[in-house]
Amino acid sequence: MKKSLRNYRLFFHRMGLLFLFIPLVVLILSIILPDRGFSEKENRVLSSLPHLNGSQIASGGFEKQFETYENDQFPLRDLWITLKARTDRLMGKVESNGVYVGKSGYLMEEFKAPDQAQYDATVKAMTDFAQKHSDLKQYALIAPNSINILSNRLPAFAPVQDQNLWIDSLSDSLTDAGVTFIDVRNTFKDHKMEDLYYHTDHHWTTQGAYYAYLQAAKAMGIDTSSDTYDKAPVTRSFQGTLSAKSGFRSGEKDEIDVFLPTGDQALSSVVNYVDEQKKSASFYDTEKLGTRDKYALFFGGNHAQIKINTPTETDNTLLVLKDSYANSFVPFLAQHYRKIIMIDPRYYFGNLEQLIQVENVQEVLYLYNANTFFSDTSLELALTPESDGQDSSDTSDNE
Amino acid sequence: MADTHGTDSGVTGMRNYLHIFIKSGLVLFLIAYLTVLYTSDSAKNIPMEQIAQTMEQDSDIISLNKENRSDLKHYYQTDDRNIDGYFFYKAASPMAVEEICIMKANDSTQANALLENASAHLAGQKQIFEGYGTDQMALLNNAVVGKKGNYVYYMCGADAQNWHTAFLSMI
Amino acid sequence: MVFNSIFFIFCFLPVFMLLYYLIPGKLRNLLLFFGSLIFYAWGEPVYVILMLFSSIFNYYMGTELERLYYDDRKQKINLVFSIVVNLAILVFFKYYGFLLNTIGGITGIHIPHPELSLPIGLSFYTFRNLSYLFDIYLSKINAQRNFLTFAVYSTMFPYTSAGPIIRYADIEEQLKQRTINISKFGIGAELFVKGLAKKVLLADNLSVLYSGICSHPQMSVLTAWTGILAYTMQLYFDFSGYSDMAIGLGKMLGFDFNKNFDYPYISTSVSEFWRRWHISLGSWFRDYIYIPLGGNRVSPLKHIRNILVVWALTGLWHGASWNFVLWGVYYGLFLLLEKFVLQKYLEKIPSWIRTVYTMLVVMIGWVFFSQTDFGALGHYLGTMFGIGASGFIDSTALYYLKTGFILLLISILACRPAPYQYFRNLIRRRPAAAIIINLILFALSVAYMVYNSYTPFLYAKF
Repeated sequence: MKKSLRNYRLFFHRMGLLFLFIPLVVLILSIILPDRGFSEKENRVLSSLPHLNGSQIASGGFEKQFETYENDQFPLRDLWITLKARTDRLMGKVESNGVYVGKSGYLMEEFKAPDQAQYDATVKAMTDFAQKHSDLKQYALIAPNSINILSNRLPAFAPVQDQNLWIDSLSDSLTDAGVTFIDVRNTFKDHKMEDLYYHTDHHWTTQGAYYAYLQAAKAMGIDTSSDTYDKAPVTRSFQGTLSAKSGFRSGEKDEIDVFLPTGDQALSSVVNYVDEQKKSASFYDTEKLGTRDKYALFFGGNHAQIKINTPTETDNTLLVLKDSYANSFVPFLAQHYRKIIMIDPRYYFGNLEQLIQVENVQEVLYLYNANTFFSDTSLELALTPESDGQDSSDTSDNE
Repeated sequence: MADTHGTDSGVTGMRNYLHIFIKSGLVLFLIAYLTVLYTSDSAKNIPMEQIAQTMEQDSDIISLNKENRSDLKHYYQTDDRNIDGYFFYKAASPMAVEEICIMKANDSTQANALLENASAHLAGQKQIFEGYGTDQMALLNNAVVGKKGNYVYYMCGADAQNWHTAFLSMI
Repeated sequence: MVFNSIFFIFCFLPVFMLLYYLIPGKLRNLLLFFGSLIFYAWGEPVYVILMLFSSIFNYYMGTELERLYYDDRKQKINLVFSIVVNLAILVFFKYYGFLLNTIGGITGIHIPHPELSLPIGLSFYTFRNLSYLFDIYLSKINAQRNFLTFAVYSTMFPYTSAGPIIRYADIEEQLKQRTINISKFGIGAELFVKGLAKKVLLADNLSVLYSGICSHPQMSVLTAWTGILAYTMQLYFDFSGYSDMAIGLGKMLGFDFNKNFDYPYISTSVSEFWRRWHISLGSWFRDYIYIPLGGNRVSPLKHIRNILVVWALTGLWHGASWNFVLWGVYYGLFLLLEKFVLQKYLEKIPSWIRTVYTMLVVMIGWVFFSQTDFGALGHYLGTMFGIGASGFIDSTALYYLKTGFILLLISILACRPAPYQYFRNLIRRRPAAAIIINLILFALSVAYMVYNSYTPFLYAKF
């Protein structure tokens, strides 16, 4: 009897002491410890102390910024995030932030059906462009994602939408307009026991890109008989976007390979990063291997405009409208085109029509992964910069 | 149990006036406060075409380059189909900072987001010209960026104040 | 500021509490008042003026109502005046759009209006201040002459943003004189940790489960029921968790507030449910609307009217939309049904069946609460009973049951008093273990709160 009462009192007394001092200690720690700058795990700069500003305080902006600052600089932040992800897994959660935990160590990003209006606008932009430039050869390779090809590795009953329906519909619309649709789904299904996608990242592996390239070459009339490549791993510690986005599988690592051309006939290219005014003799930016996002090894990541010149025999120019999947794919094309221009519509705000004239483009390749393509809003904008209702051929007035 | 108060009628009479005075004062304060809140962010619902017509009467504005939706995306990260119209003129040269952009959002959440983008744009411009473009910095420091109702505006130029007044008088 | 944030727990609270425990007792109310103003202004810099106005106005009107004690007519006029002003503020911010839209719907005249954001805690402090005025009018309390003391009651940060609606009468003594010591702080901390875990570990995760389910426009019967079960649990842990934190903070400051939730989901009738759910609101409506209207001491017809009016208003208080009124009236009808018809039958049924009956009524009620659009509401309810559903069971249902199973199981267990009684026994037998459990709960809550700000920047690389 007496002991239980004593325990009772002891408990509340200790609780009081603990919860009075623990937050105080943490507060002092967070003040003393220096602020962190760049977070590798989150791939962004963590916020710093906001400036005191009268109007900001009155609008509530300062308060929000200060809270963000406190959160970002909380001691052992990365540890807490890992703890949360582990607890989630223990509770049976198999999805976080749109990323599913699959079998064989795979993380897979969900597919969201596109907004119908946006999809229609994009397809219309592409088909109008095709009609306007019927003299150019046009191809579209919209690659399926792991959630499609590796659907048998998803958690049981996962309610994912079917990417295939949309790819089929797109294929029909584009083929009707004269664009050659390169459908790699069956090829990928045949090879799905190999690592076509990274486990922790949303991109395809270079191997996957290579299989896609072989199929595209047939459609584009490229002779691959003299292509020989050596597959070389450049890193085995790649932790990709999906493990960062979900917080899951934070220990898992991927291998990145590059396919280096062998043989005497292998040509070397010059890569021109137009906006940065930099030239390079290599497709690979090995400095990126020291950062978290090692996939940026390919061309250093996404740029608005990249020009690649290769001393081929034929004088052909290819325009690639792309997302980041193209970065590991385009090196295979370099051996077969004198000039390749890679445009990422999310960052490019120049005049595409002018570019096509000036560079004497003969072929156009749309190269996207399905998830990005079906949520993209920039491609349509790049193809039709004028507002709706204006005749797109009437561009001479504006510039 | 309640207290009793003095029953001297003279004092009570004066006290009554005092109390009525206080009550009226409180109510007036409340009405004034609510009115200020109500009108500070209200704007007439005028279509962007009408605003464009009026603003284009200013020759300084139409001497600038008329920007298209690709530029809207570029500088304000906004797709013109998501908003209820825009009016955008900007100096053609990248060295000039004269610019006027008025965007009409569909609701207040969107308007707040647009305001953030416009503010970020101004901050970005200032960063570019800081330390080496005194004329540009002068114009940028006098630039007007704000929101009224669902309209968000960015105005930079020698006549920015006039543009601002003209625009506000319309809404 | 919200209680479940890193900033509140690791910045505001330690600094405030340290000052509160160090300064002399006379200055505590002053510190509490200013601390509460800062707490409120941190989230609402502009509307803190409104809350201050409400405190000043109601303080003054409280003294007026007392001064006019002997003049019935004048006292009544002043009471009506203060009710009108208080409700005018509430209507202006909360119900203005609702009224205009309703009128517009009936007459076809559409009046445009700017959307003003709702000041935090407006419904709560309006009702709190009104309860003070009503109690003076009903001669239950004396008006507080000291503005600071009243202002502390009116704005104190533990209950300012989300209740409970504490009565002045209940804490009148404590406002002037209260004990604070480490053990009482510990009692408050225990409540706070429990409430924080309820909100952050249970309610927020249940919310994720529920919104995942709602993202599917077509559902099977089982999916719909899983969804509403998740929502039912979410609401309880969200509201009761926040109330626990409020009461816990009160204890840390030396106040004893009455509990706001009493294990409502073990109720064996709807009447009992409303004696256990959001107790401070239910008793507010009972004491200040129901009883003055006559309560149940009038003709049966008037009694029914009283119940329906009170419940329509209760619904409306929760939100400015007709689905909330429907929710309220739904409960009003069930309470009437139980009182006049079902009472004698219920007494004969075993209590576990009565609990199932009650929970069914409650869960269906939450469907009305969950959506403002009547079409969506009807669709969801229909799906639960097979109308418009894509089958009885489907893979989506199995997915959510499988991934949400542990969470739902823990939630159902945590609704009952048993785990808490077990914990109390543990305190008596092994206090060290109990402390460790609390520390683990706290650590997990911190992890989840930190994660909420986890925004990996990936899009540039896509």
